[in-house]
Amino acid sequence: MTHASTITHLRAPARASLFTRLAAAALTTVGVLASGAAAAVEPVKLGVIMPLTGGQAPFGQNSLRAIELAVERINAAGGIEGLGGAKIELVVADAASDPTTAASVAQRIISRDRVSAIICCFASSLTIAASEVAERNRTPLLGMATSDTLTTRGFKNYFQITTRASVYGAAQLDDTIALAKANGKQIKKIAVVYEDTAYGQSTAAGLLKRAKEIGMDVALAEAYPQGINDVMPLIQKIRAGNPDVVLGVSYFSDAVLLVRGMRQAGLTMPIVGAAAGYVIPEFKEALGPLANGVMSTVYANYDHYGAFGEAYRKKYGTFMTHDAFEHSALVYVVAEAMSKGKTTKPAELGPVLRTLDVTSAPVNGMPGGGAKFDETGLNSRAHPILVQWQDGELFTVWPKQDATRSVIWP
Amino acid sequence: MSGFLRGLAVSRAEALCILATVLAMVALGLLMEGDGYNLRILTLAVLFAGAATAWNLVGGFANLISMGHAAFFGLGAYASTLLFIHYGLSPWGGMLVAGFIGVLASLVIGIPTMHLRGHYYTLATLAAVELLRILALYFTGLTGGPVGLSVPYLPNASFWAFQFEGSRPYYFIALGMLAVVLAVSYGFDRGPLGYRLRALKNSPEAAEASGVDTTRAKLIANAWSGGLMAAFGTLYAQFQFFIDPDTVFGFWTISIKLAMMTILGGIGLIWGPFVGALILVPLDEWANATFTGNSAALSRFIYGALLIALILIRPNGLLSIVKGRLPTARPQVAPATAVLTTADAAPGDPLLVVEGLTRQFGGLIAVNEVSFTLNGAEILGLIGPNGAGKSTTFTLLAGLDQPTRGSVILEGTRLTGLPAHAVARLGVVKTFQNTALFEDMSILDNVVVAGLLRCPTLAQARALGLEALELVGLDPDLAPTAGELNTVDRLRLEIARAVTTRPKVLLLDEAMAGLTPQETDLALEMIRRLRASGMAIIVVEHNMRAVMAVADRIVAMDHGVKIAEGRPQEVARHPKVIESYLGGEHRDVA
Amino acid sequence: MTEQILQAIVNGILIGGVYAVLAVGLALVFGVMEIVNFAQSEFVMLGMYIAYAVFAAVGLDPIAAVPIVFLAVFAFGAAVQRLLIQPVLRAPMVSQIFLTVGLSFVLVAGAQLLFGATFLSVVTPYQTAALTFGGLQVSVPYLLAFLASAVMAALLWAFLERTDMGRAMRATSQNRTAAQLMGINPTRIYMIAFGLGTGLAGVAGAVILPYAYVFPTVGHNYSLVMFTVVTLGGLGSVSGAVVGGLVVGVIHAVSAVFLPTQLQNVVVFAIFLATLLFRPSGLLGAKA
Repeated sequence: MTHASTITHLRAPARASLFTRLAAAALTTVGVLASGAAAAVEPVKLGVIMPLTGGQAPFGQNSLRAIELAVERINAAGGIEGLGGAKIELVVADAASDPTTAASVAQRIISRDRVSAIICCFASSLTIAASEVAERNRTPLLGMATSDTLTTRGFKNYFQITTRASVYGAAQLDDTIALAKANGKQIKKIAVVYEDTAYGQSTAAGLLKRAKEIGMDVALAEAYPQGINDVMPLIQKIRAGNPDVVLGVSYFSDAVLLVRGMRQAGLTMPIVGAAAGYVIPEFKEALGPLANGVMSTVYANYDHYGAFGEAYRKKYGTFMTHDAFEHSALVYVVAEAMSKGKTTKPAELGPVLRTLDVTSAPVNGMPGGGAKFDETGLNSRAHPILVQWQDGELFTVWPKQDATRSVIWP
Repeated sequence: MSGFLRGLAVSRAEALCILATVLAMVALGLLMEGDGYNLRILTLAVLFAGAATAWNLVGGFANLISMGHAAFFGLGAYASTLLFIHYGLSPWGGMLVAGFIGVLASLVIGIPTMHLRGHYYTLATLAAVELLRILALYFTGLTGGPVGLSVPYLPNASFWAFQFEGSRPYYFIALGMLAVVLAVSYGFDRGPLGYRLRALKNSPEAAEASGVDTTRAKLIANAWSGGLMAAFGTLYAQFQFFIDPDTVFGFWTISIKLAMMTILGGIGLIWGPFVGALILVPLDEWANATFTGNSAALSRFIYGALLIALILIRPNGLLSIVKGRLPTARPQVAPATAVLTTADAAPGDPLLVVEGLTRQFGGLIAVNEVSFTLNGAEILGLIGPNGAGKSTTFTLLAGLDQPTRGSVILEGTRLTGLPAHAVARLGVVKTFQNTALFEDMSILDNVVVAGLLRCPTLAQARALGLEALELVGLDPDLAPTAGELNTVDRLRLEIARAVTTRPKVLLLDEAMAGLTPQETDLALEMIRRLRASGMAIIVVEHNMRAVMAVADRIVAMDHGVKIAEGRPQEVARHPKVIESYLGGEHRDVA
Repeated sequence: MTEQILQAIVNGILIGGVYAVLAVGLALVFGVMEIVNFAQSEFVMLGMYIAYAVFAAVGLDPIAAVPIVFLAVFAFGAAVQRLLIQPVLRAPMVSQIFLTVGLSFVLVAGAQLLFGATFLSVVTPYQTAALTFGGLQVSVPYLLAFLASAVMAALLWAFLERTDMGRAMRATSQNRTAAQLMGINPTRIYMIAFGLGTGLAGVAGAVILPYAYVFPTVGHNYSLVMFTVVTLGGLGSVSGAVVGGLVVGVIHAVSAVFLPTQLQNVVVFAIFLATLLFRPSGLLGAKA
């Protein structure tokens, strides 16, 4: 029996509503995943909201595995030092790929399960909805979704380990140009294709703004509907535009469709994606050798994760995707905040997080060497990197200080 | 008190149930922790209950299964949020504007789609909302696009800005709004519109022929529904602080959800959506909280399986169990002062003039240049073998179909081109061959629908209807619904319903088919009585003996053409008539 | 420009052939039992998973696995009809619709429980192959999908025209009571029609697998296309669905030449609504 259930059982009779009884009935199965085996110190409760069902489930489930591994490792290594070795206990909730649900479950894990902080929710729309609730309940919410809205609302309890999408989009262009230049190539004309989701739109907006600033010739800037079945029209437009490089901001299946379609059409110009669909193991599995040479901007890559990344690969057989890494790194960030601040109270954790500069492993696997949050909650250390598929693996190829291999410019 | 309730057509038992529900909901809102989880879920349940009740106005009462109500929800959410962000308009004002936009949108979507039936309407609404979603994603300058809109977070609670501490204020606002939609539902269900919509649900053709402007009734239902739905969209945006096109214009997130709640509780029942939402929202939450992590999919599985099970067990919704068990209020009836007929043409004067009436279906000419005149207080027989074009002529006269050429003129007013309900209003009403009653409605309610054409209140319509029932000799308490009547009584009710519209011209389509000779005599007696009250009547009959006995004049048709006209004996001896009937016999045999 | 349009038309016809098979099952089921199956697109997903499983187990190409996929989904669909759909055949239209919505939830969740939430796909030797005719390019995966769809459509046509069961099915769809009077057992017809309808959706899933991913909610990507196609073709018209599929495929592709890709569905929906408003019986207008 977990601690969470004890508390709620005590509270249940006070208000004998249908909901409390339902909730009480549900308690025995609440997603408490860490084994808090007879610890002397009270375990701390960390909330996790992920899209575990619905359209974004592939990513949410993936992140959950990494988060569970992080908790397992922290607990095995003696728990949270500053709290007398307290173990972390996860309270996992499914956002069901629906912002309404994301907000509801945020309220649930805050007021019923009394979590100390929340790690959430992969997608921008879910993160925005859940953080509205977290902010009003003065509970820190940490994530890796990047829509600019997230950090422009003046929230005091929102923390983001990645850079803003607009900055990221600009970096996608800048890094591509710089990398090409380092290889003696000049980019004169680009094509930008992006999905009409929050992620796609805000990243592409940053990219296109930068293109305008530097006077880049944009042959094509085209959004396409989420879940597109047929990318041939896009391929035709790319062919007509004849760009030097194709910059794609694609969530998942479209990334593969795009690469296949371009190669079918005999288009051999380099492709630089923007994480998501371009940097998951499934990309390589679907494309085989065709994946090699494809590049992508990304927030983090597994050639920097160290022992944590190795452990993940050993356990699950594939590399840890960047979003899974960022979510699990946030577990370490929260643990360090609790340890340093010697508190599990949500309202006290926020200020501690704001003054923190985490540079220990595995958080230092983030480009920039760790996490340090500024006024808006952004990780001021973070910067995007460029990776490339080589021999079926992803390697960081830019900027130079992060590179583990040199690029093979196609 | 009881008089007041009866005015609303609410029985004492029902009033007690409502009172208990209201008290329980208020008590829940006061007792639950204000910033807690339970109240938030309950608020969401009430919000969706309200929206689903608004959906029920169209999906339940008007029987238009819309899968596109997220359109109004989304418009309401976006309109109020944009007005607040850009112009600082309080979301309270935004809600009014949203309601107005919802009504407007309901007309824009409704007017072109109203003629669609069943699945076609459903698919059209689906496409309409999808179109809106794509446009909201595309016009990023206006809507923010896929990134969505965040309602600015004010540090202090403010009534004006619709921002409060905790869920409690939102809960009571949602509850208040739910009360409003429920009141509208009561108005629909117990008022004249409800009668019209129920008639429409049973038989759109018969409703039109009884003077119900079905398009208007559907549009009114749609407008109420769209406006209220938009208001709930506003509430959603203020409660969630975040909207994006995929959510508020979403098929799975809104459209499906609302309809599902309604169906679960009981579609077309006032309290159906409420019951459905109060079960479904917590059920969803319970499943979500119980199965998480790797087994999260199990919660969706169970949710879907329960939905299937409930539909299999109770296809008409959970509340269908209690439907009909609660005592209903005794209907009010106005003192009988109504006079059945409105015809004022003197006997013998031309009343209805038919000229060159022609109806062509592809290569087939069903009615070909038919002309005749019906005089005041006259009984005209329309005869001919099968396929002569008699029924088509009737359909054209009643406005249920439009002629290819030719005209029908009633006392100088051209009926051609008018819809059936307008023709009925002007005074030409038709009964249906094989009857087209409102099967699920009571005997009295069948005639009340028709009575509403002339009476502003239900009480008056009832008085008129009772008079008509008496005229045809049908006891209103003979059976609980029209669907349970036998053939003779069905014919009686069919005639009574037509008579209740106070027609100048009554078109009886084989009203004596299948009657025994004694019953036929009674029917003939009744037809003569109707004529005595001032109506002119055209009868289409196969029963030659009956027509000959009752008609003043006869028009004979064959192959769509008028072949003879005159006194019964003259027409009976007319060589063409004899030939057509003999030929007809031959045709029938062959 | 002309070349771009020609290329778009070629692509549109190829993808339209797949849309046709996607939708033809929906049309068949509606024609025979007047039910719009909102779970139809989940049977596409089911077909994709079965084809994937066959590929993963024995390395059989998804196109070659079409018969296996068809039989498996057919059997499953027929069972679903017998157990779930048959009891609500006389229920109000909404109850039928929402039964299939519940079925959709169950199938999506079931897929996630069985296969996990990850993206699965197959690598075929021809994944980047293309044939070139002058300036026109024909994607080999598309071409194979189209050919497999065409064979399926031809087989369905032969079944409906040449077999007693097929004729009985057409009779049932034209006039239910008359069909019963002729001694046709509707229960059996319904079961087989639903099996056929879902089986065809499964086949569509198998033939697109060489160029698409499968994951639990993949069906949602196809549901609106399916509804559009059957409405364009006239609800319940099998030949209409085939024409509708080709029309939607070509509109999608050609409109993208002139408009932002994001708006490709706007054109389709505009035509969809116009069809409903002005020709509710569909483009072919066979049945009013």
